[in-house]
Amino acid sequence: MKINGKGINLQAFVETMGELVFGILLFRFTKSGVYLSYVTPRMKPYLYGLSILMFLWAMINGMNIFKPKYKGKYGHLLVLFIPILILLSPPVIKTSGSMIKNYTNDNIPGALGERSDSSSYDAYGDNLVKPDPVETQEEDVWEESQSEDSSLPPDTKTELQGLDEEKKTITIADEDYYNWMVELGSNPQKYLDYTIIMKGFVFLDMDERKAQEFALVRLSMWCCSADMSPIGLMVQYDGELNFKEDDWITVTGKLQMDGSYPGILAEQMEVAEKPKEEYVYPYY
Amino acid sequence: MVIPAWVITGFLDSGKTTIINRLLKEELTEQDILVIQFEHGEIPLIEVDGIRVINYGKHQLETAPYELAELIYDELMENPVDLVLIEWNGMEHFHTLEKMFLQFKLKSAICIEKVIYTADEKTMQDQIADTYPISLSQIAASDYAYIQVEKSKKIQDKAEILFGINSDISVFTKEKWNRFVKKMFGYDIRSQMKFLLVSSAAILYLIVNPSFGSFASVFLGVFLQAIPFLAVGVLLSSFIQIYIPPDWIQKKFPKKVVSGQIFAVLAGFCLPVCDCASIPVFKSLVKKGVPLSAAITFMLVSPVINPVVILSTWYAFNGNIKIIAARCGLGILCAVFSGLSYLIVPPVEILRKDPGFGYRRGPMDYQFLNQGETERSKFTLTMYHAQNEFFTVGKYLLTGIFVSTVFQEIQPMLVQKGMGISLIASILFLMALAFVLSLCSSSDAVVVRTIAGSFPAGAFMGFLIFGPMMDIKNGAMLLDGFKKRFVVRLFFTTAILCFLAVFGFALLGSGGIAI
Repeated sequence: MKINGKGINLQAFVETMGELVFGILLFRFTKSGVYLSYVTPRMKPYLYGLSILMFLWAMINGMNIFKPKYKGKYGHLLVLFIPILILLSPPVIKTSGSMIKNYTNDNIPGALGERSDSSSYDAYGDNLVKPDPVETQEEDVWEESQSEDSSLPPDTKTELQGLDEEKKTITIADEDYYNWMVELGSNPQKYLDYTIIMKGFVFLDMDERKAQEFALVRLSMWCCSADMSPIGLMVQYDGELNFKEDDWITVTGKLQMDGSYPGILAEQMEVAEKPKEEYVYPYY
Repeated sequence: MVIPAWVITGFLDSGKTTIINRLLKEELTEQDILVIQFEHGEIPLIEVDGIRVINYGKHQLETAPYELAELIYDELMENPVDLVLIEWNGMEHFHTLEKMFLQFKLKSAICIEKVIYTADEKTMQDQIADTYPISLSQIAASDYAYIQVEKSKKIQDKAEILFGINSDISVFTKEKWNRFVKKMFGYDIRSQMKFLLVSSAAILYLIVNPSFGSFASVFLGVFLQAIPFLAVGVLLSSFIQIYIPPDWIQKKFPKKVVSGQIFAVLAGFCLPVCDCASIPVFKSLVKKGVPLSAAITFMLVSPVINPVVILSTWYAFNGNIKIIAARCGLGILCAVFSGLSYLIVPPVEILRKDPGFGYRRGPMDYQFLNQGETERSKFTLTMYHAQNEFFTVGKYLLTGIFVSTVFQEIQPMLVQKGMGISLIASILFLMALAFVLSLCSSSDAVVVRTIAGSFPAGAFMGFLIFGPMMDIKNGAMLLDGFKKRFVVRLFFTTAILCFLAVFGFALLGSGGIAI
């Protein structure tokens, strides 16, 4: 190697290292599946692509390490440095419930209770249930869009697993959770009195919660950790509740109607393992 | 022993020797000093005791720089001095100096401590433009600038040029000689302070990290969602910059206003990225001479109507075609009118001050604008360009995400405040909300879906249309590169048009949309 004119370029060195470290961390982050706590699986190829781009850039910058430079600039590297720091020690989400912010209750049929102004929440019911059976003009439009809708989202039309019509049981597997919630929300009558086995975590922090009632939910992520919302069913139980908020449990019970919402009358509740994919990713 | 060295650089007759003379006469008396001149100016060096001078010509510098370095090394080893003053040739790239004096061989003999760029206030602007890459490399590498100026003349605009290339440079004039000298003899600890600050912040973060909880995870989520698209954007824009010849787009771009607008909308549809990507592309289009009105239409429309956004809106609203149609239609309407408004009243100047060459704030590293961009492959050049843009725009993106994360934390409160207000107020409120939340356009539909019910029908369209076109993140990214006046005007134009469009739409019954 020609030694003439070779010296240290600290900036190129720091840039190369920064990109390399960020690339490696991002790759590991994606590979290990930790990324699923922050963004949806849709982002996987993009994240891989970004880490490969980082490797490429590190390589290109690496060629300049021995081109001496007097005045290095480092401020711009904060763009890499901050994410590296966060990736090094990904933020701990202490409780599932704490991720729920404003979206509270919108995907838990019946969680709103019989509020007089619940009509303003029609939008929330979406593909799940019609929250209020009162016939108003608005409701007609709702009905219309509802029927129009139900034929549309392609992913939800997939065949539902875990349905045993003879024994009248529904066993909801972790990966079918969202599809089942949609189905139970749109056709609750069809499954009345079925025995349902469903896993979720206990969610108590609702304004309108009645006694002997809690929500069994999982968090759904539509885009990223900024828009998590709980989705699930209300559960009624007898006696004492031996679980606290955020406990993962499996509930076995009869599907019943609570007003116009589907809900579960619990027969058995036991501790469960957190699913491998903690969140639900609609439409993935 | 390592001998400190000061480098004085600048164009011929810009006052290099004058500064050296004054330093020697007033400040460096009774010191052993070696002056190395790579240029013969009109003003002779004064003769003072204890000062030796070596002179090399430009020709020697070009043909045998390493031999010169070797000679200097031997000289310093034999006759060590207290300080070396290097008068650098104004027509030689600074990287040559770096290769000579910063190479491993000379590490043990010499250490460059200060670099000063000298300039004459009257001629500097033209000279910088004429000798671009070389002048740029010298300015970018300098710690201080010393400007020759007639008494009491303002040099603010000239200093701006220098700041535009090197934001860290401190500018001095004759009147501030004392301060200048103080700087020369002082030890600058700014960079160390910054380093300490950043490291302590990092350590602090690692200690208190758990208590950040949802804030950090929301931040990381939005960051991971946005940053790959930013990368796509800068790659695309760098590709345009480097590969497409300057006049190609201008020649090919439709001349007529109408076809130009149609083309812009179609191009916006075909670019499947969100707003993080469309802004860098917009910048390079403007630089390539695309008509401003069409470029603006393109930038505003692409985050609203591209396929990814359409798909996510479809999902969020359960395939409600009417909403998608309204979003696209109103989006195109607003974007086209905003674009056209720039045709009616053309702005005076939109790009930030740019002293005659295509790069601002040394985005392109001065070393790479070196002796020949020809020797580097276009691919490497594209990558450098993309990296620079990634880092410059990335800074603004991170800031934008940070601010919007703060707002997202208090969003429930905001939404509650806004419930039950009139139609006009609702539209304005939701537009403001979209502005501060700065969501990626490929995900905003999901968020608005959850709050839309609290507001009069149709009002949420303000969120869906204004958000992608203009928000904190976009505004910040635009401010890097464009004049503040341009950004402010764009903000008001889009805001007013969006409001009118959404308001009219809602008055007309929102096209029968009820979500």
